[in-house]
Amino acid sequence: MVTGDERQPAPSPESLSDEELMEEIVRGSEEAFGALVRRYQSRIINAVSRLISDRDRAQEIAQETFLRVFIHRERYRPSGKFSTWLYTIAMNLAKNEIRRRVRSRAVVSLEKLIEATGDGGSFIADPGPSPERSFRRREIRSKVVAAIERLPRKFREVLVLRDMQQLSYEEIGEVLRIPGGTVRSRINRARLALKELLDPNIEGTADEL
Amino acid sequence: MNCRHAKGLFSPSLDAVLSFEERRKLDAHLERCPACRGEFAKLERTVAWVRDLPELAADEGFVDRVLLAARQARASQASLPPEPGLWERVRAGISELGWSPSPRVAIAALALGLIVGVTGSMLVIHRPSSSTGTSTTAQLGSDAPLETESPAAAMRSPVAETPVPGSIGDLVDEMVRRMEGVGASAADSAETQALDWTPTRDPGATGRVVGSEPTAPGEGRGRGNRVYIVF
Repeated sequence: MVTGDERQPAPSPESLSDEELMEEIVRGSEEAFGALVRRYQSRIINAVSRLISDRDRAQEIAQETFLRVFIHRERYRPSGKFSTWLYTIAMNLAKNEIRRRVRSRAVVSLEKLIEATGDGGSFIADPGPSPERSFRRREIRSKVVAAIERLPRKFREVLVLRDMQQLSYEEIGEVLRIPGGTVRSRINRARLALKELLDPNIEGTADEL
Repeated sequence: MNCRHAKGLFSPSLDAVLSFEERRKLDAHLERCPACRGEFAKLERTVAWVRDLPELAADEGFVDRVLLAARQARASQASLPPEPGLWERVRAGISELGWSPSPRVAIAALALGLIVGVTGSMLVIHRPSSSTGTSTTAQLGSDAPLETESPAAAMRSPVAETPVPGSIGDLVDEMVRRMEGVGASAADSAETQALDWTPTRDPGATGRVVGSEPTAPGEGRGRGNRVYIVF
Protein backbone atom coordinates (compact mmCIF):
# COMPACT_ATOMS: atom_id res chain seq x y z
CA MET A 1 0.00 0.00 0.00
CA VAL A 2 1.33 3.38 -0.93
CA THR A 3 0.92 6.13 1.60
CA GLY A 4 0.81 9.82 0.85
CA ASP A 5 4.06 10.35 2.74
CA GLU A 6 6.10 8.20 0.40
CA ARG A 7 8.18 10.22 -2.01
CA GLN A 8 9.65 9.24 -5.31
CA PRO A 9 13.41 8.83 -5.05
CA ALA A 10 15.38 11.45 -6.93
CA PRO A 11 16.27 10.16 -10.40
CA SER A 12 19.90 9.29 -10.92
CA PRO A 13 21.79 11.77 -13.11
CA GLU A 14 22.43 9.02 -15.64
CA SER A 15 18.71 8.74 -16.30
CA LEU A 16 18.30 12.45 -17.06
CA SER A 17 18.44 13.95 -20.54
CA ASP A 18 21.28 16.27 -21.49
CA GLU A 19 19.05 19.27 -21.13
CA GLU A 20 17.83 18.18 -17.68
CA LEU A 21 21.41 17.65 -16.60
CA MET A 22 22.29 21.14 -17.76
CA GLU A 23 19.46 22.51 -15.64
CA GLU A 24 20.93 20.72 -12.65
CA ILE A 25 24.40 21.98 -13.47
CA VAL A 26 23.16 25.55 -13.61
CA ARG A 27 21.73 24.95 -10.13
CA GLY A 28 25.20 23.92 -9.03
CA SER A 29 25.05 20.13 -9.16
CA GLU A 30 28.52 18.69 -9.52
CA GLU A 31 27.04 15.21 -9.74
CA ALA A 32 25.11 16.22 -12.85
CA PHE A 33 28.22 17.72 -14.40
CA GLY A 34 30.13 14.52 -13.75
CA ALA A 35 27.36 12.50 -15.42
CA LEU A 36 27.46 14.76 -18.46
CA VAL A 37 31.24 14.46 -18.75
CA ARG A 38 31.04 10.68 -18.47
CA ARG A 39 28.35 10.59 -21.13
CA TYR A 40 30.30 12.57 -23.69
CA GLN A 41 33.98 12.14 -22.80
CA SER A 42 34.66 9.39 -25.29
CA ARG A 43 32.79 11.06 -28.15
CA ILE A 44 34.53 14.39 -27.69
CA ILE A 45 37.98 12.86 -27.28
CA ASN A 46 37.47 10.78 -30.42
CA ALA A 47 36.15 13.64 -32.50
CA VAL A 48 39.00 15.97 -31.52
CA SER A 49 41.63 13.28 -31.77
CA ARG A 50 40.65 12.31 -35.30
CA LEU A 51 40.68 15.95 -36.28
CA ILE A 52 44.01 17.00 -34.82
CA SER A 53 45.80 13.64 -34.95
CA ASP A 54 47.14 13.92 -31.45
CA ARG A 55 45.58 11.77 -28.79
CA ASP A 56 47.22 13.41 -25.77
CA ARG A 57 46.37 16.90 -26.89
CA ALA A 58 42.85 15.71 -27.69
CA GLN A 59 42.41 14.75 -24.04
CA GLU A 60 43.43 18.24 -23.00
CA ILE A 61 41.14 19.88 -25.51
CA ALA A 62 38.27 17.66 -24.42
CA GLN A 63 38.91 18.72 -20.84
CA GLU A 64 38.93 22.35 -21.91
CA THR A 65 35.67 21.79 -23.78
CA PHE A 66 33.88 20.48 -20.70
CA LEU A 67 35.38 23.20 -18.56
CA ARG A 68 33.99 25.85 -20.90
CA VAL A 69 30.60 24.19 -20.73
CA PHE A 70 30.77 24.48 -16.96
CA ILE A 71 32.04 28.04 -16.86
CA HIS A 72 29.45 29.20 -19.38
CA ARG A 73 26.68 26.93 -18.11
CA GLU A 74 24.26 29.79 -17.61
CA ARG A 75 24.60 30.77 -21.23
CA TYR A 76 23.19 27.48 -22.49
CA ARG A 77 19.65 27.75 -23.81
CA PRO A 78 17.54 24.58 -23.55
CA SER A 79 15.88 25.46 -26.86
CA GLY A 80 19.05 24.26 -28.57
CA LYS A 81 20.32 20.73 -28.53
CA PHE A 82 23.06 20.33 -25.94
CA SER A 83 25.20 17.97 -27.99
CA THR A 84 25.31 20.48 -30.86
CA TRP A 85 26.53 23.16 -28.46
CA LEU A 86 29.12 20.81 -27.04
CA TYR A 87 30.42 19.72 -30.43
CA THR A 88 30.58 23.33 -31.57
CA ILE A 89 32.85 24.22 -28.67
CA ALA A 90 35.01 21.14 -29.19
CA MET A 91 35.37 21.63 -32.92
CA ASN A 92 36.24 25.28 -32.46
CA LEU A 93 38.94 24.44 -29.97
CA ALA A 94 40.25 21.77 -32.32
CA LYS A 95 40.33 24.24 -35.21
CA ASN A 96 42.23 26.71 -33.07
CA GLU A 97 44.71 23.98 -32.24
CA ILE A 98 45.20 23.18 -35.93
CA ARG A 99 45.73 26.86 -36.70
CA ARG A 100 48.26 27.17 -33.91
CA ARG A 101 50.15 24.17 -35.21
CA VAL A 102 50.13 25.40 -38.77
CA ARG A 103 51.47 28.74 -37.59
CA SER A 104 54.19 27.11 -35.54
CA ARG A 105 54.66 24.33 -38.09
CA ALA A 106 54.45 21.80 -35.30
CA VAL A 107 52.00 19.46 -36.94
CA VAL A 108 52.15 16.03 -35.39
CA SER A 109 51.91 13.30 -37.95
CA LEU A 110 49.20 10.75 -37.50
CA GLU A 111 51.54 8.26 -39.08
CA LYS A 112 53.64 8.43 -35.92
CA LEU A 113 50.55 7.74 -33.88
CA ILE A 114 49.79 4.73 -36.01
CA GLU A 115 53.34 3.47 -35.74
CA ALA A 116 53.24 3.87 -32.00
CA THR A 117 49.92 2.22 -31.40
CA GLY A 118 49.33 0.00 -34.38
CA ASP A 119 45.98 1.41 -35.36
CA GLY A 120 45.77 5.05 -34.53
CA GLY A 121 45.60 5.25 -30.80
CA SER A 122 45.03 3.38 -27.61
CA PHE A 123 41.80 1.81 -28.58
CA ILE A 124 39.23 -0.01 -26.58
CA ALA A 125 39.84 -3.73 -26.84
CA ASP A 126 38.26 -5.11 -29.97
CA PRO A 127 38.71 -8.86 -30.27
CA GLY A 128 38.92 -10.12 -33.82
CA PRO A 129 37.83 -13.48 -35.15
CA SER A 130 41.24 -14.76 -36.20
CA PRO A 131 44.84 -13.54 -36.02
CA GLU A 132 45.17 -13.21 -39.80
CA ARG A 133 41.93 -11.41 -40.26
CA SER A 134 42.62 -9.30 -37.23
CA PHE A 135 45.99 -8.32 -38.68
CA ARG A 136 44.43 -7.41 -42.01
CA ARG A 137 41.78 -5.40 -40.26
CA ARG A 138 44.35 -3.42 -38.32
CA GLU A 139 46.26 -2.81 -41.51
CA ILE A 140 43.18 -1.40 -43.22
CA ARG A 141 42.41 0.77 -40.23
CA SER A 142 45.90 2.22 -40.31
CA LYS A 143 45.49 3.08 -43.95
CA VAL A 144 42.08 4.61 -43.37
CA VAL A 145 43.39 6.77 -40.54
CA ALA A 146 46.42 7.82 -42.60
CA ALA A 147 44.19 8.67 -45.56
CA ILE A 148 41.89 10.75 -43.37
CA GLU A 149 44.89 12.72 -42.20
CA ARG A 150 45.75 13.58 -45.77
CA LEU A 151 42.34 15.12 -46.39
CA PRO A 152 41.82 18.86 -46.12
CA ARG A 153 40.57 19.94 -42.71
CA LYS A 154 37.10 20.77 -44.01
CA PHE A 155 36.67 17.25 -45.30
CA ARG A 156 37.99 15.73 -42.09
CA GLU A 157 35.52 17.73 -40.04
CA VAL A 158 32.47 16.42 -41.84
CA LEU A 159 33.78 12.86 -41.89
CA VAL A 160 34.41 12.95 -38.17
CA LEU A 161 31.02 14.40 -37.39
CA ARG A 162 29.06 12.24 -39.81
CA ASP A 163 30.76 8.87 -39.96
CA MET A 164 32.40 8.71 -36.54
CA GLN A 165 29.99 10.74 -34.44
CA GLN A 166 26.82 9.97 -36.39
CA LEU A 167 25.54 13.53 -36.35
CA SER A 168 22.70 14.32 -38.72
CA TYR A 169 23.23 16.65 -41.68
CA GLU A 170 21.25 19.30 -39.85
CA GLU A 171 23.38 19.02 -36.72
CA ILE A 172 26.57 19.18 -38.74
CA GLY A 173 25.29 22.35 -40.37
CA GLU A 174 24.67 23.86 -36.95
CA VAL A 175 28.04 22.85 -35.54
CA LEU A 176 30.04 24.06 -38.53
CA ARG A 177 27.66 26.90 -39.33
CA ILE A 178 27.26 25.99 -42.96
CA PRO A 179 24.04 25.58 -44.98
CA GLY A 180 22.42 22.19 -45.49
CA GLY A 181 23.32 22.05 -49.18
CA THR A 182 26.97 22.64 -48.34
CA VAL A 183 26.89 19.90 -45.72
CA ARG A 184 25.49 17.46 -48.24
CA SER A 185 27.97 18.25 -50.98
CA ARG A 186 30.94 18.48 -48.62
CA ILE A 187 30.27 15.06 -47.09
CA ASN A 188 30.02 13.57 -50.56
CA ARG A 189 33.22 15.22 -51.75
CA ALA A 190 35.04 14.18 -48.57
CA ARG A 191 34.04 10.56 -48.97
CA LEU A 192 34.86 10.50 -52.67
CA ALA A 193 38.28 12.00 -51.92
CA LEU A 194 38.88 9.39 -49.25
CA LYS A 195 37.78 6.65 -51.60
CA GLU A 196 40.31 7.84 -54.15
CA LEU A 197 43.08 7.70 -51.56
CA LEU A 198 42.07 4.23 -50.46
CA ASP A 199 41.22 2.91 -53.90
CA PRO A 200 44.26 0.62 -54.27
CA ASN A 201 43.29 -1.07 -51.00
CA ILE A 202 39.66 -1.57 -51.80
CA GLU A 203 39.94 -4.21 -54.49
CA GLY A 204 39.26 -7.69 -53.22
CA THR A 205 38.34 -6.62 -49.72
CA ALA A 206 34.62 -7.14 -49.85
CA ASP A 207 34.62 -9.42 -46.84
CA GLU A 208 37.32 -7.74 -44.82
CA LEU A 209 35.08 -6.26 -42.18
CA MET B 1 21.12 11.75 -65.32
CA ASN B 2 24.80 11.59 -66.23
CA CYS B 3 27.61 9.98 -64.22
CA ARG B 4 28.75 13.27 -62.65
CA HIS B 5 25.28 14.02 -61.37
CA ALA B 6 24.94 10.47 -60.11
CA LYS B 7 28.19 10.71 -58.16
CA GLY B 8 26.86 13.78 -56.41
CA LEU B 9 24.05 11.67 -55.01
CA PHE B 10 26.15 8.77 -53.73
CA SER B 11 26.59 9.97 -50.16
CA PRO B 12 23.08 11.34 -49.74
CA SER B 13 21.91 7.93 -50.91
CA LEU B 14 24.05 6.12 -48.32
CA ASP B 15 22.72 8.47 -45.65
CA ALA B 16 19.14 8.06 -46.85
CA VAL B 17 18.57 11.76 -47.35
CA LEU B 18 17.62 11.62 -51.03
CA SER B 19 14.25 12.81 -52.18
CA PHE B 20 11.98 10.26 -53.79
CA GLU B 21 12.69 11.69 -57.22
CA GLU B 22 16.48 11.72 -56.69
CA ARG B 23 16.38 8.15 -55.47
CA ARG B 24 14.42 7.05 -58.51
CA LYS B 25 16.84 8.74 -60.92
CA LEU B 26 19.93 7.41 -59.17
CA ASP B 27 18.61 3.86 -59.10
CA ALA B 28 17.81 4.08 -62.79
CA HIS B 29 21.32 5.34 -63.56
CA LEU B 30 23.04 2.67 -61.48
CA GLU B 31 20.94 0.06 -63.21
CA ARG B 32 22.42 0.90 -66.59
CA CYS B 33 25.93 2.17 -65.63
CA PRO B 34 28.34 -0.52 -64.39
CA ALA B 35 31.12 2.06 -63.81
CA CYS B 36 28.99 4.05 -61.38
CA ARG B 37 27.80 0.84 -59.75
CA GLY B 38 31.42 -0.04 -59.06
CA GLU B 39 32.20 3.42 -57.73
CA PHE B 40 29.17 3.35 -55.52
CA ALA B 41 30.18 -0.01 -54.06
CA LYS B 42 33.68 1.28 -53.34
CA LEU B 43 32.31 4.36 -51.65
CA GLU B 44 30.04 2.21 -49.54
CA ARG B 45 33.03 0.14 -48.42
CA THR B 46 35.08 3.26 -47.69
CA VAL B 47 32.35 4.60 -45.45
CA ALA B 48 32.06 1.24 -43.71
CA TRP B 49 35.79 1.32 -42.98
CA VAL B 50 35.61 4.80 -41.51
CA ARG B 51 32.68 3.80 -39.34
CA ASP B 52 34.55 0.73 -38.21
CA LEU B 53 37.44 2.71 -36.73
CA PRO B 54 37.61 1.86 -33.04
CA GLU B 55 36.94 4.35 -30.31
CA LEU B 56 39.72 5.94 -28.36
CA ALA B 57 39.41 5.48 -24.65
CA ALA B 58 39.53 8.42 -22.28
CA ASP B 59 42.52 8.54 -19.98
CA GLU B 60 41.99 7.14 -16.53
CA GLY B 61 40.93 9.91 -14.20
CA PHE B 62 39.68 12.12 -17.02
CA VAL B 63 36.37 12.84 -15.30
CA ASP B 64 38.09 13.58 -11.99
CA ARG B 65 40.43 16.04 -13.67
CA VAL B 66 37.54 17.84 -15.34
CA LEU B 67 35.62 18.02 -12.06
CA LEU B 68 38.67 19.36 -10.26
CA ALA B 69 39.18 22.02 -12.93
CA ALA B 70 35.50 22.95 -12.68
CA ARG B 71 35.75 23.23 -8.91
CA GLN B 72 38.75 25.53 -9.25
CA ALA B 73 36.96 27.61 -11.86
CA ARG B 74 33.95 27.97 -9.61
CA ALA B 75 36.11 28.96 -6.64
CA SER B 76 37.91 31.47 -8.82
CA GLN B 77 34.62 32.93 -10.03
CA ALA B 78 33.29 33.14 -6.47
CA SER B 79 36.38 34.88 -5.13
CA LEU B 80 36.17 37.69 -7.65
CA PRO B 81 34.41 40.79 -6.31
CA PRO B 82 31.27 41.83 -8.15
CA GLU B 83 32.17 44.02 -11.06
CA PRO B 84 31.39 47.68 -10.40
CA GLY B 85 28.67 49.28 -12.45
CA LEU B 86 29.33 52.22 -14.73
CA TRP B 87 28.08 54.72 -12.16
CA GLU B 88 30.39 53.36 -9.45
CA ARG B 89 33.30 53.62 -11.84
CA VAL B 90 32.40 57.15 -12.90
CA ARG B 91 32.07 58.16 -9.27
CA ALA B 92 35.37 56.55 -8.34
CA GLY B 93 37.04 58.35 -11.21
CA ILE B 94 35.59 61.71 -10.20
CA SER B 95 36.53 61.11 -6.59
CA GLU B 96 40.12 60.85 -7.70
CA LEU B 97 39.85 64.50 -8.60
CA GLY B 98 38.83 65.31 -5.02
CA TRP B 99 35.24 66.08 -5.86
CA SER B 100 32.21 64.27 -4.38
CA PRO B 101 29.16 65.48 -6.25
CA SER B 102 25.57 64.37 -5.82
CA PRO B 103 24.41 61.99 -8.58
CA ARG B 104 22.37 64.71 -10.34
CA VAL B 105 25.25 67.15 -10.46
CA ALA B 106 27.64 64.46 -11.56
CA ILE B 107 25.35 63.28 -14.37
CA ALA B 108 24.87 66.85 -15.57
CA ALA B 109 28.63 67.43 -15.54
CA LEU B 110 29.27 64.14 -17.27
CA ALA B 111 26.68 64.87 -19.96
CA LEU B 112 28.22 68.27 -20.55
CA GLY B 113 31.65 66.73 -20.73
CA LEU B 114 30.45 64.12 -23.20
CA ILE B 115 28.90 66.72 -25.47
CA VAL B 116 32.05 68.79 -25.42
CA GLY B 117 34.18 65.73 -25.90
CA VAL B 118 32.18 64.33 -28.81
CA THR B 119 32.03 67.67 -30.55
CA GLY B 120 35.70 68.24 -30.01
CA SER B 121 36.70 64.83 -31.21
CA MET B 122 34.58 65.23 -34.37
CA LEU B 123 36.23 68.54 -35.15
CA VAL B 124 39.79 67.92 -34.12
CA ILE B 125 40.68 64.31 -33.62
CA HIS B 126 41.00 62.02 -36.55
CA ARG B 127 41.08 58.41 -35.49
CA PRO B 128 42.07 55.49 -37.70
CA SER B 129 39.27 53.79 -39.58
CA SER B 130 38.03 50.34 -38.68
CA SER B 131 40.51 48.82 -41.10
CA THR B 132 43.24 49.51 -38.57
CA GLY B 133 41.18 48.88 -35.48
CA THR B 134 41.96 46.19 -32.99
CA SER B 135 38.53 44.84 -32.33
CA THR B 136 38.96 41.22 -31.47
CA THR B 137 36.00 39.02 -30.97
CA ALA B 138 36.29 36.43 -28.26
CA GLN B 139 34.07 33.46 -28.29
CA LEU B 140 33.54 30.10 -26.78
CA GLY B 141 36.07 27.81 -28.26
CA SER B 142 38.46 30.58 -29.07
CA ASP B 143 41.71 31.27 -27.33
CA ALA B 144 41.94 32.89 -23.93
CA PRO B 145 39.87 36.04 -23.62
CA LEU B 146 41.50 39.12 -25.00
CA GLU B 147 40.74 42.60 -23.89
CA THR B 148 40.06 44.81 -26.84
CA GLU B 149 42.01 48.00 -26.84
CA SER B 150 42.18 51.03 -29.04
CA PRO B 151 45.14 51.22 -31.44
CA ALA B 152 46.81 53.80 -29.26
CA ALA B 153 46.35 51.71 -26.17
CA ALA B 154 47.58 48.62 -27.95
CA MET B 155 50.80 50.35 -28.88
CA ARG B 156 51.80 51.14 -25.33
CA SER B 157 54.42 49.06 -23.69
CA PRO B 158 53.31 46.86 -20.81
CA VAL B 159 56.48 47.82 -18.96
CA ALA B 160 56.45 51.56 -19.60
CA GLU B 161 52.78 52.10 -19.00
CA THR B 162 51.04 49.65 -16.74
CA PRO B 163 47.36 50.48 -16.48
CA VAL B 164 46.19 51.43 -13.02
CA PRO B 165 43.01 49.62 -12.05
CA GLY B 166 40.07 51.94 -11.83
CA SER B 167 42.09 55.06 -12.64
CA ILE B 168 40.67 58.08 -14.41
CA GLY B 169 42.74 57.05 -17.43
CA ASP B 170 40.98 53.71 -17.63
CA LEU B 171 37.66 55.43 -17.29
CA VAL B 172 38.39 57.75 -20.18
CA ASP B 173 39.58 54.80 -22.27
CA GLU B 174 36.35 53.01 -21.54
CA MET B 175 34.26 56.01 -22.48
CA VAL B 176 36.17 56.51 -25.72
CA ARG B 177 35.74 52.85 -26.58
CA ARG B 178 32.02 53.06 -25.99
CA MET B 179 31.70 56.20 -28.04
CA GLU B 180 33.59 54.57 -30.85
CA GLY B 181 31.48 51.47 -30.61
CA VAL B 182 34.61 49.36 -30.35
CA GLY B 183 32.84 47.32 -27.72
CA ALA B 184 33.56 46.33 -24.21
CA SER B 185 35.70 43.52 -23.05
CA ALA B 186 36.04 40.10 -24.54
CA ALA B 187 33.80 38.76 -21.81
CA ASP B 188 30.99 40.94 -23.07
CA SER B 189 31.60 39.82 -26.62
CA ALA B 190 31.45 36.24 -25.52
CA GLU B 191 28.14 36.91 -23.79
CA THR B 192 26.53 37.92 -27.03
CA GLN B 193 28.34 35.59 -29.38
CA ALA B 194 28.27 32.37 -27.45
CA LEU B 195 28.58 30.11 -30.44
CA ASP B 196 30.71 32.26 -32.68
CA TRP B 197 34.15 31.02 -33.28
CA THR B 198 35.30 32.82 -36.39
CA PRO B 199 37.48 35.70 -35.29
CA THR B 200 36.71 39.02 -36.91
CA ARG B 201 40.39 39.11 -37.71
CA ASP B 202 43.37 36.94 -37.24
CA PRO B 203 45.68 38.64 -34.75
CA GLY B 204 48.66 36.81 -36.17
CA ALA B 205 47.99 38.15 -39.64
CA THR B 206 48.14 41.85 -38.90
CA GLY B 207 49.61 42.38 -35.49
CA ARG B 208 52.34 41.11 -33.27
CA VAL B 209 51.80 40.18 -29.65
CA VAL B 210 54.47 41.92 -27.65
CA GLY B 211 53.37 41.00 -24.16
CA SER B 212 50.54 40.07 -21.88
CA GLU B 213 49.61 40.26 -18.24
CA PRO B 214 46.68 39.04 -16.19
CA THR B 215 44.09 41.65 -15.37
CA ALA B 216 43.57 42.35 -11.72
CA PRO B 217 40.16 41.69 -10.16
CA GLY B 218 37.98 44.67 -10.75
CA GLU B 219 40.17 45.97 -13.52
CA GLY B 220 38.19 46.78 -16.61
CA ARG B 221 35.00 44.91 -17.29
CA GLY B 222 36.49 41.63 -18.34
CA ARG B 223 38.49 38.95 -16.62
CA GLY B 224 41.43 37.35 -18.26
CA ASN B 225 44.62 38.57 -19.80
CA ARG B 226 45.46 41.97 -21.18
CA VAL B 227 47.34 41.38 -24.40
CA TYR B 228 49.50 44.01 -26.01
CA ILE B 229 49.56 43.92 -29.78
CA VAL B 230 51.69 46.11 -32.01
CA PHE B 231 50.28 46.91 -35.46
